[in-house]
Amino acid sequence: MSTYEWLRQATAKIRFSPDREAVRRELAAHLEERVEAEKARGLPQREAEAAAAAAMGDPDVLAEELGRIHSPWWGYLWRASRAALALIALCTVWVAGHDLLDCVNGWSRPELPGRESVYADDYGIEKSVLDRWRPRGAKKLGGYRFTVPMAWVEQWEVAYEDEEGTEVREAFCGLTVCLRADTWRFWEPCSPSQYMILDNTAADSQGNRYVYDGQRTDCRSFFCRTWSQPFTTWYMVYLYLPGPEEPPEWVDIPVGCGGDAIRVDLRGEVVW
Amino acid sequence: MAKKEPGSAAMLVLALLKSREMYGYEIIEELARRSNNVFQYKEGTLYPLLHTLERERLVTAREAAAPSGRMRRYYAITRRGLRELEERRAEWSAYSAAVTAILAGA
Repeated sequence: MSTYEWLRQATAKIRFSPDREAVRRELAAHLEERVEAEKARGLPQREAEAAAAAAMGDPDVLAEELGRIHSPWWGYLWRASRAALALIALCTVWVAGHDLLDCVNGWSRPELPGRESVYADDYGIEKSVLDRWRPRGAKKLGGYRFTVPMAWVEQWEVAYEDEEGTEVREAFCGLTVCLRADTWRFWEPCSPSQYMILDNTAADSQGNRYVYDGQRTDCRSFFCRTWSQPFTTWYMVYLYLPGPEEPPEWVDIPVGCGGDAIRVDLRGEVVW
Repeated sequence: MAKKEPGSAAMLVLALLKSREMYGYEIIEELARRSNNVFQYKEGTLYPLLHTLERERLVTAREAAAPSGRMRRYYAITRRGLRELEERRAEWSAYSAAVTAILAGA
């Protein structure tokens, strides 16, 4: 029997092809060395191969044992699990990539006025900062830590055309309070609907009430914008004032639906 | 599982691999040499044994190129294999002592 035929028969019962190829390589290497040893004893090639095949034993008996040891099920399971893992990894990367892009696009923080007394806001409106504070303290509500990085009083002017096409200039004044809500639970960012119930009213130490985006004449109005980052939500609360006036000692900003409020203390030293 | 009867080929192969890693043809030659040709196995039968020992994590295997360029699969004993070898050596010692004792009285 030639070594080729012996190899073919001896590996015939290994059904998982990668295993069959590996075993064939190993047995072929052994046969080659045996053939060389027989040739070194003086046997010609053909007889050396026959002697080598005979020395290896009955290929059918060996085939049964090798087929039993190299069960194809583990091999197919390994292949299937690798394919499944690769698919899961691909899907995760695709989904995370999309979500990450959405997140990154949504990640931003408000621009706070720097040292200059005049700055341009997000809409390009030039505003003059009259007073500025960095209120201390923090409040914990529902797993979120609220702090007030900055509060300031500013005034600005808006120009527009009335119905008759006449240019009208209107002056505004407002107290802006920047709130920051931090949490380690990045999957549960602080949401305005949960922590800035906008049908509540704000109040100040002078007895003024502020209604969200209200058109009422008996009280002032305020509105809020938010910016989201993975662990932080920023709120900019704009409380409209009738004009430059002595700022209140404190302002209560409503948060949550249980009557909670963040008291922003403006009695600290004015910071420039 | 590789046969556990005292003096089985598995024990002999593990004992050879304890000294250094070897490939299949080398194991066959070394078994014959060290036993003065008492142990001359059909060479092909070594491979189901080696593959079983590998599956039982008693040996590990790696492929490496021989000086001739041929790829060889080298086997090395593991710690688990060393413990198994010691257990089988102890069983063999007890077995051979018992046989010797019986034959001495015969």
